Amino acid sequence: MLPTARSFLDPKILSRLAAVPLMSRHAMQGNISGRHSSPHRGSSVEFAEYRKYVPGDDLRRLDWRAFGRTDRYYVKEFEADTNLRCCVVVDTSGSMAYASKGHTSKIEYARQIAASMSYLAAQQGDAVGLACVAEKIVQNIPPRRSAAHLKVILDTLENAKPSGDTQLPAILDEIAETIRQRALVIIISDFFVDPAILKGCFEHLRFRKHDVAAFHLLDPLEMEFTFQRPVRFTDMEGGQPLFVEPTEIADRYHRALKTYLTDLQRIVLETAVDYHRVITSEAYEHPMMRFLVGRTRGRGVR
Amino acid sequence: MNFIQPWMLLALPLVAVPIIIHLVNQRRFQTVPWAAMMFLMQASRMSAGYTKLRQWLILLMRALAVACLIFFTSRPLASGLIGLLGSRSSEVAIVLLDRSPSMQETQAGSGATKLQGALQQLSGTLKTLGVQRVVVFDTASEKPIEFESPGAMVSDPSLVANGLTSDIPGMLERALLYVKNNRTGNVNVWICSDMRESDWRSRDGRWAADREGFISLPQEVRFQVLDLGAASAENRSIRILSAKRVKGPQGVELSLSFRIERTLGSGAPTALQIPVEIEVGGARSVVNVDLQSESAEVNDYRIALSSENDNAGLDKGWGLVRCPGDTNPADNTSYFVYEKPAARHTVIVSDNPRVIEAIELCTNISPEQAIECETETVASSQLDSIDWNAVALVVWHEQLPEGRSLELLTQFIAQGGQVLLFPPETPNDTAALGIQWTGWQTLDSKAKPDAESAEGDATLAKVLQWRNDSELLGNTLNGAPLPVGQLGIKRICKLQAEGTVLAAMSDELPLLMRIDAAGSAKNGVYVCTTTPSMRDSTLASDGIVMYIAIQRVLAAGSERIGSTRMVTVGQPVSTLLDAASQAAGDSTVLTNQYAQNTGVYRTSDLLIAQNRLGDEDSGKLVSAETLSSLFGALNWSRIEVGASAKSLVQEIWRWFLIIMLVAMVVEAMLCMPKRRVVPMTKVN
Repeated sequence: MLPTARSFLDPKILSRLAAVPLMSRHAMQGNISGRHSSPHRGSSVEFAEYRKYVPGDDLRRLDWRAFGRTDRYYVKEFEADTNLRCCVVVDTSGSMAYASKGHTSKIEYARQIAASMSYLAAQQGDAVGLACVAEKIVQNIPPRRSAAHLKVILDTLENAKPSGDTQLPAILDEIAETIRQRALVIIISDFFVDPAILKGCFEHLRFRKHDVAAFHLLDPLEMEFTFQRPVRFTDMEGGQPLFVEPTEIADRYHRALKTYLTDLQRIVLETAVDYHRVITSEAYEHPMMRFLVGRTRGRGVR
Repeated sequence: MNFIQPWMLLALPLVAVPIIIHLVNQRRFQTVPWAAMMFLMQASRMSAGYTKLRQWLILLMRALAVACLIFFTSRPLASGLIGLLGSRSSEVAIVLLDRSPSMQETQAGSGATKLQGALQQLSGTLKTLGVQRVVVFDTASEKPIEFESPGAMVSDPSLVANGLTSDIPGMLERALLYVKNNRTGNVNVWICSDMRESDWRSRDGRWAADREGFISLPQEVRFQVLDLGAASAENRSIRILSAKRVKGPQGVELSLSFRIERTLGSGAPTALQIPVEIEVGGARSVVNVDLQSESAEVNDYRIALSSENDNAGLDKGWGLVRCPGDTNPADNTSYFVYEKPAARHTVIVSDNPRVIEAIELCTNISPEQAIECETETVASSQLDSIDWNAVALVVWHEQLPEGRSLELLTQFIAQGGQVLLFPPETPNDTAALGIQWTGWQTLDSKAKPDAESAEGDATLAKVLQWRNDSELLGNTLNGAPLPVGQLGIKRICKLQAEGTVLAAMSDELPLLMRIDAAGSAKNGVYVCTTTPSMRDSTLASDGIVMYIAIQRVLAAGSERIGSTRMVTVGQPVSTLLDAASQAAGDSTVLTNQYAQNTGVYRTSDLLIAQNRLGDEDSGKLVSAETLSSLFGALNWSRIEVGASAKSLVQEIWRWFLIIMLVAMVVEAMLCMPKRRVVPMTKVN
């Protein structure tokens, strides 16, 4: 049911991913019935609680058996299932254009994840939105449920060009404030930001009761840093170039990277962010499958 | 520090190669767009100081390794004294070798003699310096001895020590000639000597000529004086002064006079008793000599001769005196010969009866009972009829000899004969034997300051100055001076001659001279500028001076008469030893080197005792100031040679090799990659 053929969407992978529903880890506040738990009482078959009758309640929901036993009026309430609002945040800063030889660029990888995630959400009736961010929010498509909206999202993803500096922390704060209801916020970025600053952003999103998931994209060469000859590194986000002797600096690079990843790992645990580190040499199906399966285990609490 | 192959130092700019490679490598960078700049920035901020230091250290170690490799191949030498020798060394080295007896002194510590040590060290040094050919000059051989390698010098039998006092200026003269003739390039002249004054002859006139000769050479000649004269332990030497066969109360006796000298290593001299062994014809006796100071002399020590202790009987024989062994065995023995004294035959050539009479009185009266004296008066035309082998002295009072007469007299002088010349009444222009009479001059006695105080005829001129330290007018054995000042001189005959003035009326008017032969060598020609005639002087009336002077010159001349000779090594008679057999001495000496070694030698006609020169025993060294003045403006340096070192210079390439290896190891350690931090490649 794809609107048009997209290079970053693979129907076979989508069909395999569609077998696992996209679940929220927390209760969502949708406006229609859906497959996600809601914080409100509804008309599902799952009993929730008894509460005292107040005038105005539907008399059909009175539990007459309870009245018979206690001589008091109780209303029997059931859990409500609703849809979710999925907001995909894609980092389109200059650093996302990086791709080492033979590997997919980070922006392309982000497109694949974002598009697939949007498709899965739309398929199960959830509202999907997209925010392309760099120095600011470049493109912001609010979450909607229509099939035509999915086309808009996919078109936007297709046209997204990586450029500019990263101002991810400020943008995440802005997004946390602008999404009105609880939502599943999926951030796809290389997160080249100080983890201590990111911690504040994640806490902000969690404070707004959003279910935050993060796909941390890293190129294999960024992890291994296997340069031999002297290299003049130019900053893809417009910073000062740096001339280094790789053999001299490699160990310290790895030390800095390790420290960064360790700090980030600690922060995502502390802020309950559904964090997925992704090496772009890996097929995007796998991290997505891990993401989806992980969510089925911890279905949202109300 | 000097180098054997200094041209290798031209490669020193290669030290910059590691730095250039580093800079080129820096220029060959690739530009890579990079996303994870934050990690690079953090990494570059981490330990940047240490990284830069490490990088500089690596470059330094690489440059050091290259520099050490270049120095290593340049073969550096460790010696400050050799100067720039290494950089100017040639393939030929000239060695002036002092082989005198003093060079046989044993060096403390090594046990080798100074000569052996010098050869060993010089050989090692020349080998180190890459010298291919060595030319050795010594006093014994006229021609240079050439060696194809420095090592061959050490074991060569022709370079062992001998009894000949060295003649350093003579060797320099021959070295100069060699350099000139062979047109060698820059050359190093090595002088191995123990710095004895007797070998260096600092007052020799040849030094100035040698100096000028070397300065005028187009090529550079550098002199290296290897000073082996370091103070050693106490050394004693013994030297025979005279050995006479005399008639004593017990019969025929041998009268010996000898002298013991010692050179002190350090400290004050201590009194000691030295047992001197005397061997005469195989019979040995010992006499203890008390040595209180630096020398002791034994005079007229009598040993009774008997027919049993001498193969040659009572008339002729040989013997030796020996003191106990010490650091130098070469001066512990002195040899002598003796024989029945031959008659002292004097030939007077004169036609003046008064002069003849005065001289005959002096020559006919023997100073000793055992010595016979006889005088023969001939005309100058009758010289051919004389048996010259029996003549000790010729007194010449005629016109200077010419033609055949001159020839005979020259031959006589060359064989050790003595000639005393008096001026003729009317001298002509003839020049012979190095002199020429120029005319009589009557002396004005009043001009002489001590004329009135002199005894005798106060109106006569007196002798103003005379040498009382040696030769004809020297003091007597008991130290009393001869009464030369009492002589009255009325007139003298002026002359032109080169020689040593023994007595003079003034600075311009010599009375008695010894004529020097070529090279300032002594010969037996004396000239008196007046005559014994009463008309000329009081030589005859105050006859004691003339008697003693004539007896002394007669005694010197009589040494050539007879069948025994006591000579010093190197005297002309030594040439006779080529066909001699050794009666006593060092049995290891080669037969063709008898002339250069002490001992007793027997030829068909003669019994010759050959001893070292007396100056060898004095131990007087050439001072640093004297040495400096001898070399003057020449390029020279002095190296004090110890006993322990095997070579004067040492190659220190090993140190550079070690430093290079250390630098390479340090560089490898600095370049060794650190244990890499394993990146967190696992997802989640």
